[in-house]
Amino acid sequence: MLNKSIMDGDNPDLTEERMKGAFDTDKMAAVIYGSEKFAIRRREITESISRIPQLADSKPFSFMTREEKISESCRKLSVLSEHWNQLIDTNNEEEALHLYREVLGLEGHAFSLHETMFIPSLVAQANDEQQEKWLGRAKRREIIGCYAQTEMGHGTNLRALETTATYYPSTQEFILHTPTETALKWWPGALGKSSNYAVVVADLVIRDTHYGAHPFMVQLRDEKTHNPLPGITVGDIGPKMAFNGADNGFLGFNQYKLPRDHMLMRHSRVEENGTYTKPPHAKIGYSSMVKVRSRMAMDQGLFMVSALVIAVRYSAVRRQGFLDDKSREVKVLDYQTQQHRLFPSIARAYAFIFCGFETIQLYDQLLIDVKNGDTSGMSDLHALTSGLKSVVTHQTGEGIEQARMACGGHGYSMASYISEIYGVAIGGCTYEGENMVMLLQLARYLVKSVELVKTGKSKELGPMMNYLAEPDTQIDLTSGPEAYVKVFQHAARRQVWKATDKFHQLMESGQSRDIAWNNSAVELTRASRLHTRLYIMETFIRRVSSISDVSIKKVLIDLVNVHVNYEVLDIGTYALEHVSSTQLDSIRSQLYSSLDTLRPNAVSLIDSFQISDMQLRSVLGRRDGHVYTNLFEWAKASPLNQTHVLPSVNQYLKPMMDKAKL
Amino acid sequence: MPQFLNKTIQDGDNPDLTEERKTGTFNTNDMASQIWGSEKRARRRREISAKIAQLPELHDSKPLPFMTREEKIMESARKVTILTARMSEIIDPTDPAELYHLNNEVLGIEGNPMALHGVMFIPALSAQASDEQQAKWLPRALRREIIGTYAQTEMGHGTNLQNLETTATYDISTQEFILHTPQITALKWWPGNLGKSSNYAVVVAHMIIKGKNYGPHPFMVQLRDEKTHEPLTGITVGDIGPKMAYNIVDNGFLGFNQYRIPRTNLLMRHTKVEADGTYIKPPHAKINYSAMVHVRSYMLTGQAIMLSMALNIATRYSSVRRQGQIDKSQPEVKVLDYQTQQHRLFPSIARAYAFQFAGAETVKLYEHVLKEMKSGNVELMADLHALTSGLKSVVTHQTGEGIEQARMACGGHGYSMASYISEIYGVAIGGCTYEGENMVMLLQLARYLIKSAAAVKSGNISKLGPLVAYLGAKSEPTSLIDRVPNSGFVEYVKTFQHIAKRQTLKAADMFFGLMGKGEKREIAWNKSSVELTRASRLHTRLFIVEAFIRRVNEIVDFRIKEALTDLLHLHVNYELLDMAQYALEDGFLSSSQLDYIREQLYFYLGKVRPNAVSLVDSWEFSDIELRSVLGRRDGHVYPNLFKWAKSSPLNKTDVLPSVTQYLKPMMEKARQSSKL
Repeated sequence: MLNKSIMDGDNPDLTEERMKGAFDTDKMAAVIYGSEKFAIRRREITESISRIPQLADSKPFSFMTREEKISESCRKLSVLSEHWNQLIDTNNEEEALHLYREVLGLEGHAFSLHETMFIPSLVAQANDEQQEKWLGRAKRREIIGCYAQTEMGHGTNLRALETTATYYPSTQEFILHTPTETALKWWPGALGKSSNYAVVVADLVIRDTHYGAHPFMVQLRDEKTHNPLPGITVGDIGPKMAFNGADNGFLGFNQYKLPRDHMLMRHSRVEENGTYTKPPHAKIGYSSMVKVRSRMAMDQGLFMVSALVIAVRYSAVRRQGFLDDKSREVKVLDYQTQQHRLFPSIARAYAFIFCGFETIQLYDQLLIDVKNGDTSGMSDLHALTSGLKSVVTHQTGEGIEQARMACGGHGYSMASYISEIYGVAIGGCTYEGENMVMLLQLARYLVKSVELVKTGKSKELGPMMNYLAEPDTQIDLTSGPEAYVKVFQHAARRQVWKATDKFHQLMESGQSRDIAWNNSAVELTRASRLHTRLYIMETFIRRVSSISDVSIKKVLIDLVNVHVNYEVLDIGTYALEHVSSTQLDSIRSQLYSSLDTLRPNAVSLIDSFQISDMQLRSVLGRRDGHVYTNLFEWAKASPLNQTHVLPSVNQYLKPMMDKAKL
Repeated sequence: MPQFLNKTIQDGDNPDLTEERKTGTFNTNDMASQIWGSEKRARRRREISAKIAQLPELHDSKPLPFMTREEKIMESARKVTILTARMSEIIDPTDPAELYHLNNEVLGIEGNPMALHGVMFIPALSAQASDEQQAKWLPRALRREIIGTYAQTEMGHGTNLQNLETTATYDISTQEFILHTPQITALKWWPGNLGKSSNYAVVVAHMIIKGKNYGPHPFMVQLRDEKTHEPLTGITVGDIGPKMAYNIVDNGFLGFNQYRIPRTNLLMRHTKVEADGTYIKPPHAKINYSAMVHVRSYMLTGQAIMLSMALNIATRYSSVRRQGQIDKSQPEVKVLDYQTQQHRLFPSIARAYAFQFAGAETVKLYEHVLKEMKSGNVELMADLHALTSGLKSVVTHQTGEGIEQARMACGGHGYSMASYISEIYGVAIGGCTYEGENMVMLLQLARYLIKSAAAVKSGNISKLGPLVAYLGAKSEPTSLIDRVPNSGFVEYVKTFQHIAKRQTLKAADMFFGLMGKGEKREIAWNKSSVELTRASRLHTRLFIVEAFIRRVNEIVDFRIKEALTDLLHLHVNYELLDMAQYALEDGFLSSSQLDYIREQLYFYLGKVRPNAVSLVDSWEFSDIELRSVLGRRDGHVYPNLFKWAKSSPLNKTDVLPSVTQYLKPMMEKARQSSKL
């Protein structure tokens, strides 16, 4: 069979779908995950994990309290520490991430920041001597660390952080201090309970001069007892919308003393006598943000896919209502409204993952350039990833919720697990730069680019901005996806120019730059979204045209067709100056026929992500499609059914009813 | 203390919030009367809140987010019994609005063990049990000697009633019905309070007499022993497990194994089965409509309230949170000063008002139609059914969007349960699915619209109901929206009408066109259904705009009218911009008119800004009801956020058991081996 998910004994409704798939799902997995080798490794890792029963969830996460979830993930982490080398190549970040997703899931855990933030910040910001001292210990997990920057009163605006690190040459110590409640570190993952060390960002003060935010390596808890050290107030910030397996924490300092060499000194230094040495270039700090945001496009794509795997499989198993054949209810996947809910999101998920790959490659290239002294690409990539992070997280959230609702009532049950996926994914709209702020960062770059064009300096435009200087051309929609790119370019160009004009006009009418900016902000965010969506579409098309396998390419072109028609229709308001009403009607009918064309491949397209049942954690999304029996089993095992009569009934409701009978 | 127009101001409040309240241009008590329908209702709400504030045993014993599901259920059962004993001290128990307010304050939005008893079980008995049956069961239910629910949805079957699988087969020899669940998909699944709380239920099952299936009918069924509360023999019942939200309610499953009930447990107000198995049909079949229409009408205000709760939290917090500088020479600004923040929140504030007003109008309409029905006019119910199907769908969707935007407008802290917005979202968004899945609802309205479009096409304009009369009206070639002074929003309404009409007629063309090409009706319908749902949304949004306008027109109080007119301006421009594509396509709106609408929108964001806090304050939610640290009336967010966190469950100990058990040994082992 071309679809490798088929097994004997599966729900025939699902097998029927899989038999219709026109391409080899293993080959598609290789496209999705970037190489055949890694796609194979993923399957191998999944297979190895399934043979270690201690790594399985001891019961469904949704049945656990927060304390139980945390304990469960700690248990698994300690099991993992025995099996690490046998399961994955520990030097391969992608393999580690896959392992984490399978075993620990997406709700966070005690190490969630240790590897993604703590160690990287030591690598990037500690000098060689400091790395010698701490990095080995961190990697061997003798200590657990996190990265503490955000404060209760201050998120996005780094300059406003209140925590101070004041240097005293007399003792050669910093004194860390939390001057007010709003200065408490607030939100860092794994800070509350798990970590005994943290890289803490504080305002460096030397002889009353504020040098701004700098990173410090701080011990928080005693290595033996794990109790907080004197002068440290630390704890969990309480339950959250989701991600409750992680102990996001608060941290306060009461005149806490720290040796001078605990400031991370790779880029800036403080000498014994208090002399401060600046970092060589300021933009260095950008690079870790750019990396995290590049990764986010991929991670969000995978969140969305998880939801879509569940919804598409369930839609092939759930039957409701009739079309022309009155003898049997139809699969809900046959409804156009259902296809319209799910398929454009499948296309987006593919597009996001391809974008993620591309931006990570761009980032790697940039690192090489920076090492060679060329930082010119930094602003371009920073702007791109700001927009991408914002658009991708927003559309992912929408897509996941639509997938959940496409499962009807059962989607609302934790048995679907989609609401948990939503809760985790939607956090991405806020963390790593709030989306509106991100869009406006990109907008700054867009406005600058228009200003270049206006002043005849089009040659200085970044590679992604060239279209801003190009004239409109006639559109022939029958010429393929590139014509849709032209439509998008027109829409983005027009909105970028209009928003820039508005901004300029407001300044000319006497408003200060800042006020004019704020008064144009909504139009600017619209421009940023269009620009980013153009990039996503172009990347999708680029990636698909690079594919040589015929059957894979064919189905991905079908998916591109869903994408370009859906996206252009969605921005019709902006496109209508360049596209006629008849053209828009033809886009509509193209969209509906592309949904039809995709229909037979829908299940195979989501199967290709090869997300195991263990990782999916969903009763509705089971590979075998046996939803109903397992839904009943799941419900019977849930906590409230441990007794026939709840304590609350015995204690309150029965006495109440008895009293009423008197 | 001087008298301020905003009645929420108190000494000692966060000055950033007081400053906002002082810029309000209207009396918030007067606005509350508009929101809640009358001065008396608004006053009663305040009185009830004040009474509850004085009864500590009715307050949450700790924040709900700190409780496990079991604890929440225990807490809620505790409060329910106190309320049962003291109800009439606090409210007039015969007034549903007062009861609703009391429940929201004391029990909250996450449900309670008797959530379905009052809103579904008792109404089902009242509507469907015969007088004799009512005499037997209703007083017991009203006195709460028994707890009941309404069990219809099955695991495999939601929307499509005809496909329910549970059977009630009549056994003439014993004069009993035998309830049976033939397979797993036939399990009743989802009914609220079915799992653990109820000992009785009205169960819907296919009635079979002498081998003939008479379709779904309601039966009164005892589920649990009244003394022990244990499930009776032949009954499998339990909780369906944790959900996205609404976890205080024990939504349940229920299976029957050849379970026998007396013939007289069939609810016999409308249909009857005689002892010998003779079946007597109900007088007219459409009667079941009215319960659905009733629930959907009330859903609108329920959704409006939840949206408004989230906006209260976000708007207050946005006047307390300072971040970044607009003018670099000034200190950090309130985030409410950012245009992007205003654009996130204010259009939703307008929608919350619009939904509340549209909801009130629909409830009135429903009451009117009920009266008409009694005098034999059943046609109107079909109109209203179509209208409420669309409203339910559009309102729940936009409410969900608005709540999530409100949460994100609170930045990181919005994601904390301390904001409580994610819980509000979880509860509200359920409305997109229950009481008729939204897509299905939009397509029900579409059927009505297509019928109306067909009437227009065949020249039968006189047959159009009042809600669709615009489909038959002559339309102008272009809008005058930027040319005619905007009195009474006439040009706006015309544009909304033009858009809805154009899309409805286009979708109808598509549908009839496909049939003309030989597609079967159902297939043609399916292939047009996305376009049909678009038509339904536009029609519904037109109604919401018109209802908002009608309501504002009725208002006499000058200050209130002025503030609401600004909000209405914001609403019409925002909504029109959001759907402008449809009017640009045929040139009804020009691109320069669109620019005009945009600038109007931004202008009114600025105009609403000074009234923003007063507009949300006017809903007069107490802190008890809001359950949000970020949304506190006094604006003292930060110290209370810290207090809240410190008292959260994980902070009971400095070192978690999981650290002692797993992480410490793991780290120690690593240290040992690195020393080797």
